[in-house]
Amino acid sequence: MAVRNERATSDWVVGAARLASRRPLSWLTRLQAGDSGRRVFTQKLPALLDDYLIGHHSETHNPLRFERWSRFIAYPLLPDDVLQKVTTEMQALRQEAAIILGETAVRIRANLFAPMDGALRIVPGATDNMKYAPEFDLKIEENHGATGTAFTTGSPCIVVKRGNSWTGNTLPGDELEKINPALKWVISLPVKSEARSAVVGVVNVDGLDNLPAILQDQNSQEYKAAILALHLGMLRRFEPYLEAGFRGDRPPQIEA
Amino acid sequence: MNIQTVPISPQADEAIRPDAEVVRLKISGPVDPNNAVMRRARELVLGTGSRAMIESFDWAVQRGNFVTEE
Repeated sequence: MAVRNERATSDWVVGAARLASRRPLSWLTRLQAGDSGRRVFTQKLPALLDDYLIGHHSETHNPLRFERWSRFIAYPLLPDDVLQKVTTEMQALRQEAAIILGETAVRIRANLFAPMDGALRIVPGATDNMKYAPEFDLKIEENHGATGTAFTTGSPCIVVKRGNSWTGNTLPGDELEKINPALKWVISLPVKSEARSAVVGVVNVDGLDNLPAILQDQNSQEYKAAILALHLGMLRRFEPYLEAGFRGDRPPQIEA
Repeated sequence: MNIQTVPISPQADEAIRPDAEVVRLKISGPVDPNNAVMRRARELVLGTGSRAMIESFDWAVQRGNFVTEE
């Protein structure tokens, strides 16, 4: 959640409103207004987004700027261009994970969770190789499961199904019922925003049917190295897109 | 630099160990690229042949923003 201030440096309309709110004009106009519309926020916080343009009142209300507002308001729903970048990175990450974990890519999947409506949910469209419909409605609370724990702690987390059930995973039963019965393991990789100094999403890489040998022993160096490789190898690739979505900007593009 | 796995689910009694426990990879202390786990992680990344992954790995090591506890 954020507040966005887009102001015009030469906005005389808000200046006039301020003037009309002062005595003796306020006696006539009954206005109680100021010129905050052209002022910067008095506090500097990651969730207070300040932007300005050199121009007048009408320029901040130019229809050409509406798209950016709609992108900002929709977040964490991602516009098509940002979503396409994210899913492309997910496809690549799935292939890379297959190599690192020694697993076939067909059995590996990926998705992006972000806070929505008070819980972590899969960002619509931000999945790769996921075909089990009930999972798209998963709702995970903070500190619940690997995803919720990764979001809260900022650390990569992993959960492996060694027995017949997901006991110990801390997800409530009605959420566990939505999980693909073939799911065997999940690696949850938190995405941190440097600008906001916070975890803004969790990319999950998970696998069906089989537990890769490298994930068998949680105390082994290979196990730790594999998770660290996946986490550090993806950090820089998702953060810019989530940050662009958060600010309502277009995604970074390749430039000649 | 310390890289350790920390089970989140209670494991007081091995006999009642849950089927699926959450494990956290906890990283603390100053970043050390020569740490054995770090070196092996970079080898694994290099093995993918992905330039984007290698660049992300080196960027993250330089920033140190993956360390959760100093």
